[in-house]
Amino acid sequence: MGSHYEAPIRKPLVTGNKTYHQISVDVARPVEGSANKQWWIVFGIALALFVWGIGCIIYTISTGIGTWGLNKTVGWAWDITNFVWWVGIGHAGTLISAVLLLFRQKWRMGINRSAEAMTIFSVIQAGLFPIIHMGRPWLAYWIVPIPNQFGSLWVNFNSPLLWDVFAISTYLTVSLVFWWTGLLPDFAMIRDRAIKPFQKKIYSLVSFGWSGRAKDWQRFEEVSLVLAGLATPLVLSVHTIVSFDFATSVIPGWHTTIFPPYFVAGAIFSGFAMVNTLLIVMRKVCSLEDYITIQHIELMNIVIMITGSIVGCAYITELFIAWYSGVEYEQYAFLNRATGPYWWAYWAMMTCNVFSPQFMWIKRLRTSIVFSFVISIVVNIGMWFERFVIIVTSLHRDYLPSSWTMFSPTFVDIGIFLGTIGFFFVLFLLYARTFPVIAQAEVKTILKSSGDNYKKIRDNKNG
Amino acid sequence: MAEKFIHAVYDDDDKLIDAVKDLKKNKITIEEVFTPFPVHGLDHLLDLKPTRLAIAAFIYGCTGLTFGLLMINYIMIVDWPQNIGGKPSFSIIENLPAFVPVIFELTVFFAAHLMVITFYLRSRLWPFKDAENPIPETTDDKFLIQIPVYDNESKIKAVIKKTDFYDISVIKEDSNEDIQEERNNAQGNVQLLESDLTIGFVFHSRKYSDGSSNLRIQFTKGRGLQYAKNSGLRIFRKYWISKKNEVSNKHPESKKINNLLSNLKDRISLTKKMFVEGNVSYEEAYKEILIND
Repeated sequence: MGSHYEAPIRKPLVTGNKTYHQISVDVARPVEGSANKQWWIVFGIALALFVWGIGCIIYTISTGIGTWGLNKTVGWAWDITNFVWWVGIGHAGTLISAVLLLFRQKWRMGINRSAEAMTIFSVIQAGLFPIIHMGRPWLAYWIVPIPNQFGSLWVNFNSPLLWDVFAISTYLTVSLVFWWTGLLPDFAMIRDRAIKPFQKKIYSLVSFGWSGRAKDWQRFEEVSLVLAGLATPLVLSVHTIVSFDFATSVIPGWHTTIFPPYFVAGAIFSGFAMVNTLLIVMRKVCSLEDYITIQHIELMNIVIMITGSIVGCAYITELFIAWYSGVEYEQYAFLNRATGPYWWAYWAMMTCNVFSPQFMWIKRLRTSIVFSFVISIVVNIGMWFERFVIIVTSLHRDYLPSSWTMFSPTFVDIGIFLGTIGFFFVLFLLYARTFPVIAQAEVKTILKSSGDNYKKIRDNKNG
Repeated sequence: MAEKFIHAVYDDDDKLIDAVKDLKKNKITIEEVFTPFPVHGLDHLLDLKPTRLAIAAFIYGCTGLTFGLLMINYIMIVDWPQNIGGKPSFSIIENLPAFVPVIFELTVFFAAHLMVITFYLRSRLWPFKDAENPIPETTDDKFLIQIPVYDNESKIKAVIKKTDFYDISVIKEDSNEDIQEERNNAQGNVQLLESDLTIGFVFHSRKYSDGSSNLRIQFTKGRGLQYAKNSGLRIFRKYWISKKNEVSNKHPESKKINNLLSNLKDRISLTKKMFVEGNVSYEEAYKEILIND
């Protein structure tokens, strides 16, 4: 068993004396079983929110953007806040599967499938907002580079909003093929276990005829590695470019050079929090505690703690640079954030993002499931407020005091946001019932090195 | 192309690696290995050439970079240059910093998608493609080595029997029958809870000129020990219902054969009971079943 050696100091990543077959059974169980009452209740709530959101979107499109709370001073508010919030959440999936693959972090295998699913579903939510905000979403194809015979000019490649188009669409499609390629062997496992003809047909279709030849696996591993190598700079570039939407402008509070790393850290922070929120529930509902262990939750909490601290550093650096720059507009923008009419949003952000993750220094708290769940929700609220603070408080008091105003959302703003939350959970709940939620083929490769039963045998042998 | 294959099945990746090493040592050609997950070192043992997909991805990335550069140069510099706040909008080099994000994204887009498409085409993966793993368990926990048989069947079997195998079966490629039906049926009758001894029906791999083949009774003890005896029945395999261990009514003299089979099955369950109680040994078990035939 020499080739399966792992340092005894490392905690097991698969518990419960699993065999290869048991892993297949555990991963296929939620797919093969039927949904319980709780699932239907949660799904019903999510679906209702989604339908409400669709109603609000239809109202927006048919009546106009005037149904939102925007005014001529605050031209960007909830929509862009929600867009950045969702894109940020969508960063953890690729980070877990790509960056942690490059760093050979084996604990990613228990959580990468769901994190990637979360990525794709949240980027879909993000993509909705710019399209609705266009006002005439049926002309959305004008953002692709098409010649000016259409009656207008080419798209402007100097614009960060166009960079966003390329970044988000590349990110969404590359994440999708990365996810699906990893799913092929797991779909094949469910296909080969399926008894019902319809189920067999569907999983044959989605597994693309995966057979598991030695050569296929060789290519599979190479493709995963190269995709990870490509996705790593991609994921960093996406939120960098999202931050350019603000950083390349001349609005005080927006045009700061710290934005790209600050946004990327914030994205990882909120993404990991969302992964924690979802997986803490899913491991319980789908009985996957042996694959998503306390060890996994603890490691995610450590990532949350570190990225939360980076975000905290960025907040303080921003304040310092605003003072140090000597530019009174810049200084006022930050003073206004902390003490102006939106002080409560600023301090909500500070409390949730900077102070709350610091509890994770205490081992007892970061290994507590209830505490982790609460903090993960708090962090996501905080990260929503961060975007709200950056966007609305920077805009509502600009260079011209006569146009200073406040922003308050209408029921449509709120309805669309709730609708995307509903849509996200509709997709995620459907995913949890139909997809192999653990990358079982990958987990099987680490069973002999990181499974508790194998580790125990080795420990006993070594005395 | 060989018409006949031996499928050696293993239930552990380390056993598989050892078996592949043994087969290689005995200079037996391995045509294919099916595994539920990537087994490390297997590609080297099978002398698979390293895949060139990474090189392809690099070339695709370069294509994307060139495409992005040419597209932006045409759109922003050649076709419709604009004076935007006096910026150097008439030279691609001087305006390049603003174009880096899109060119980068296109590089990644091309490299990732074209590489994955190449992978799917080379490994023949697409929707509506039928799976080709010979037994469904190879996506779960079994590892299967496919060995082409020329005139060396007994030698291959001898080598495999020395390894810690789980199942062996002989497959004929030219028959139109379902491959899964062809496999050694011993596993279909596994009742490990009842006893260590399993008794099941298997067909002899050789067919008579009329298409029928001998039905044999196979005795398996644990994982390693196995022997088979002729049941004395000659059956057309296409009418065999492996789930029920009987022939369908399309088979000539189906009633008579099914009667004989049900007698055999009774005696099999009796023998199993005797084995559990210690009244008969594994080696002698066949005598209890075939005593009168």
